[in-house]
Amino acid sequence: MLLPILLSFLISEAPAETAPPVKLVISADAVYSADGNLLEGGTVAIAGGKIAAVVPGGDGGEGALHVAAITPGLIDLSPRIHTGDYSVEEASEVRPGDLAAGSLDLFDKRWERLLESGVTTVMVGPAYENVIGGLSSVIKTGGKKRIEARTIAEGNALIGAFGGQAARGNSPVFGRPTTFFARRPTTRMGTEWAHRKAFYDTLAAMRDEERQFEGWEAMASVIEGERPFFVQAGATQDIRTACYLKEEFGLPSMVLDGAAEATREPEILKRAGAAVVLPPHAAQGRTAVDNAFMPWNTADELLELGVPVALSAHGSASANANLGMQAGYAMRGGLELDEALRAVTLTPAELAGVADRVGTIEVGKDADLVLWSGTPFAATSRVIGVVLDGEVVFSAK
Amino acid sequence: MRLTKTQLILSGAFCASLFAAPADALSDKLVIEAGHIILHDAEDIEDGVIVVENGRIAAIGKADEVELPWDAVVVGGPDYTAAPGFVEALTSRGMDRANENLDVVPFLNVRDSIDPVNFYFEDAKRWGITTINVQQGTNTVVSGNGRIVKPTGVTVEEMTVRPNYGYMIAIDPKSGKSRATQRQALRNAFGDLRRELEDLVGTKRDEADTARREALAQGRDQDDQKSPGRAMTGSGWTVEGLELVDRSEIDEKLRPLLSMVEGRAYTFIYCGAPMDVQPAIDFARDNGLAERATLVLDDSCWKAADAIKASGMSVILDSDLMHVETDPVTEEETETFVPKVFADKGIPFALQSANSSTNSLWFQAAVCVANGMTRDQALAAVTTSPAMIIGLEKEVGKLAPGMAANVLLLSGDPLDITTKVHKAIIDGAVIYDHTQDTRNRHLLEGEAPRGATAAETEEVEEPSKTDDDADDEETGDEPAEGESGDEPGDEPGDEHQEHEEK
Amino acid sequence: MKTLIQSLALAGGLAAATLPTFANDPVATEALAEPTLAIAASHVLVEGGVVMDDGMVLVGDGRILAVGKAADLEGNLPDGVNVVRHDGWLSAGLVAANSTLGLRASGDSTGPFMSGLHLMHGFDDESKSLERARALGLTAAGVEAGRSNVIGGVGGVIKTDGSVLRKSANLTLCMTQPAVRTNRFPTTPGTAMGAVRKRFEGAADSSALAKAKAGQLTTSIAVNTLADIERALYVAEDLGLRAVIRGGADHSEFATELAELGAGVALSPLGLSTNARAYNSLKALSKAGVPFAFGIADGGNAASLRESAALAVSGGVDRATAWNAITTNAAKLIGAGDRVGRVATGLDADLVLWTGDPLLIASSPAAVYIGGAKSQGDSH
Repeated sequence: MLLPILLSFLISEAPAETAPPVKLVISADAVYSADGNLLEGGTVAIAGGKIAAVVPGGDGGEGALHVAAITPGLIDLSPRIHTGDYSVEEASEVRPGDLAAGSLDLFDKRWERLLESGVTTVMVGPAYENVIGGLSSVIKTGGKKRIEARTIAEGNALIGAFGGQAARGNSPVFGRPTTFFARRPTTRMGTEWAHRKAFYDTLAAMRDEERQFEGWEAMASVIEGERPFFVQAGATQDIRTACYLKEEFGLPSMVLDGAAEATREPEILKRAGAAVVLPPHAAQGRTAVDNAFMPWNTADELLELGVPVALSAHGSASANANLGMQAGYAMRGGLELDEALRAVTLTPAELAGVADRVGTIEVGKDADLVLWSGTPFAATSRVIGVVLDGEVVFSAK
Repeated sequence: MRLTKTQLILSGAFCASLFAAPADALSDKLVIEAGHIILHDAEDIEDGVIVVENGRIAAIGKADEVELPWDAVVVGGPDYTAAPGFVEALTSRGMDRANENLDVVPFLNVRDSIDPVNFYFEDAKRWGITTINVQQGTNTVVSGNGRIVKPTGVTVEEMTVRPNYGYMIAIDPKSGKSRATQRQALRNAFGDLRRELEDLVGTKRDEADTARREALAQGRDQDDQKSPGRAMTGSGWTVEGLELVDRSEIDEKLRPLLSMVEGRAYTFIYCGAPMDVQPAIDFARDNGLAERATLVLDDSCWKAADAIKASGMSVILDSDLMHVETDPVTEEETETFVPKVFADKGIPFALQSANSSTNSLWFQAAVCVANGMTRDQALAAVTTSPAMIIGLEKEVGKLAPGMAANVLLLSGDPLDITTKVHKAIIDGAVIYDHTQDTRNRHLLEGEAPRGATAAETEEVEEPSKTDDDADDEETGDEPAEGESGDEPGDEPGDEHQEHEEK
Repeated sequence: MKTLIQSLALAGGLAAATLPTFANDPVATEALAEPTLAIAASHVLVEGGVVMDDGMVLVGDGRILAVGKAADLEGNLPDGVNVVRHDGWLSAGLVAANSTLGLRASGDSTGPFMSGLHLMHGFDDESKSLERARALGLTAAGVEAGRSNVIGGVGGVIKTDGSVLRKSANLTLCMTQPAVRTNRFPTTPGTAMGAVRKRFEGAADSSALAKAKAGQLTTSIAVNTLADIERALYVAEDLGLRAVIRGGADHSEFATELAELGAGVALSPLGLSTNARAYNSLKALSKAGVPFAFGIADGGNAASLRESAALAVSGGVDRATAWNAITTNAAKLIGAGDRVGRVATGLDADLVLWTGDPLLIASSPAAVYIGGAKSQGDSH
């Protein structure tokens, strides 16, 4: 019954010969579109892999798909679903031009599990083993298993790491070293030095052709604000260091990944204008990145400060740690449902630069949807279906 | 059970900071007010009260329908939900080590291993677990004696709800053994008992013979000998003539096995694979354990559910609720939600928690609802069902007059992720108050505990004082194992913690 | 007047009319040599799926001059022709899609990019490995670099009598372990891929890379995982290579793309523990028309070839395809399809006499001929 209405809606919106046919119609008790709109009792129509219409009412009728709730597909900016050491070129510590997508393994089972937990888009970069590891890409978690087919934004951000991890594998040069890991940096401050040197060299390269080095354009794009600088910084001192660096070089856009202790330096964070991706909530507070302590109300505090916050699950698909549960835990820490939803949909889309395509349920955007058995992010709900680019790619039995 | 003032003082600052000073316990009457009271097999009571006297529930009903004692202390309010405390059907946490190196150790007792200040007990209160069945772990042949405790008290005796309760028997091999050698070890253990009993009976019979011959030879009557012991009873095997033996003469290492065989002791039989289930059932039957035994199952054992149904035994499920199998050719993964299999077949089952925080009993129940079970089934699996399995169905697991006053005052629905335990009451005493829970307030709200030094923002950092050190200072009172190192694999996503810094 | 040869050719042609025709190098009638050898066998396995009973093959000047029914050909034999009668099977010699036969070393560890390395410079034509291979019925093989470098070098095609059929036939690429992940650049498949593409772009016209790009050399791309195959196809398509995917256990996912690219697959030998997934993959490749063959550079020996073919048959692959995988298609993949791999007029006389059906493990070689010369076995 709704179909003719939808069809006529489409026809009136677009020239008849280019409007693709409505392929899928799903109705729900609640449609959360993540831009603040909540439709209590609504229907989503999909055509050509995109959202064609979002209308109130309609229980679909017989044969139509009806679920308790629909949200946009979830987005994780730090799924860490790379191939570990295999994902970062360790021949040197500063490799701005390397595309991490070249080393992905789309056949890893983790992609399917991630998709089944409701995550439809991820940002994949190299592991945080290098000072500057290369460029990330934004990739859909389902669809044809080819990098080109899944990539929606290639090289969207420059990836770097503060803290001890980049220095971890290196050792000081003694005698005649037999490995190329006998090099700087070997400490946290050495890592920071390496960052600053890389940016200084880039400024030089921008002025003088003779000073150009491999990958300098990628670094220059960060200085120019064409790309965000996405860095891992968990402990308070690393967050400070990152913020100071941003201010020193006037980098227009920076996102701190795993910034567990973000609320300990609220002023510096706010002043620097950095955004934050939080690591998974830890049972006793000690998170994966440098054991930094993250109180569970961190997301709430940061939102109050006006700092953009995205949540991440570090690729976990398990019932108690997946991205949906992270949103639930953030609610336990004080977030409202719509704030938690935003932190796993629209905000990460904005930070990754793909908000024109994903992150909300709006006409014209990619038809990436999560179908829930109850209120999203509740422990008593689960993901019962996932639509990706208009296709139902997962359906629970 | 009430804490006297003396015991309080002796507890130490740490306990005092966490628990409410139980002034409430000084009155033997308590009234718990709640906006919802969750009952078993009945509608929730809206705006109700629970009256507690002498540690037991005296009455439950709507506030305006129940007569309240004038001298009761009142806790709670209309914003809270009252629920029964959760029952942990089985755990080996809270001890220094889960198992011994020796195979057959029924003469040991967890009383000697339980550590009242172990983080598990502290966290249990926080997540509403009020009754805990502590047994040794599954890496054994026959374990030591367990006990049922509550997570409050500074000595094991104070914590004890039911002492000397339960033994763990493993069909799944102890590490270092194969299934064949495990079975042999089990057979030997009970075989040794049988042989010992038969030997003793034989000796006694010989002695009796000798005495009779002597009396004959000396031409006197033999006194009527009363049996020093009692005959052996048991649904499996028995040794005739055991009444001739004084029970105290039986090797004390084997005596616990005798109580198992005679059906006087409870056993938990661990199956690590579906192939272990029928042998477990048979072993239990053959040795007279079946009446007082519960199967403890690995997640793969759902495949043997029919055999379990036929046996009539109850089960305790693994904390891993979703069993995943991978097809070796297509590499497709098939998932089976284990509790539902047992619920659908009508087999009584209880759940275990994986850790006491993000995967506690409330969460396991919530996941059951998410996977298609009813709310009642899910709640029962963490309250009335485990209570029944450990023989405390008349004491704990539901809110009803006559039961022990183990009540949770929750900020919302028990299965809601944003719900916090506001207060926990055990035997009528408030043993947990969230407003006093320093550690949890630090975790949830970043609230620094009283007396902690705040981290200074310095331009130049001294290498020795990092913010990580400052954190340790703040949470320094608590035992170190409470932090990340304690329960490996408990905290999802925390796998990297130990490896981060070289 | 027709010469004897011409009448033979006619007769052979008549006999051959019952067999499918192949795209051979046309052999000019004037250049046809006189037959010096005639082998008659109870069964002649001409090519995959085609068996001639009581057949005969005429050999001269190292080549196959005619194939036909013994009854037809026997009568017209010139004097002095050595006639061999074999109560058993006759087939083309086996061909391995890749190997390291005769090489002392399959790679040089100087650096990861060794496009200037010519493996045939290290080819020992008297190596015992050739003799062993020959005794097992292997007559021709591709010789390729190992997997320890990203660009391993240029290899050739040899015969197991020590002769070199082609000095430069293939280029080996490996953008996965073990070439990647050592204590030197590149440490990731992505950067390996990037470095390879960059070198191809900047390659001089005379270099091996340019030749590979032009299709004059086959590019053998070594893989392990599915992701490796994906990357290999990406590179092959991007650079327009004539690619052979070397290794990998399951190619079914990529069957369509492989067919579109005109690429082939050189598998490592199958074994008794190979599971259904691998056989399903072979069937999928076959269905999509992707030629596949077996190679022994990454493991196995000449015996593994027949084992693999036999296992493939038991795994559900049809006989013809299984046989082609160790003869015709292997020859095609190494760029020697015009010379070896079938019993057909004009091709090299690389033939094996078997005690029974060569696709049965119980059979063994009774005699091996390379270029018409017997190199193995007793006379009948």
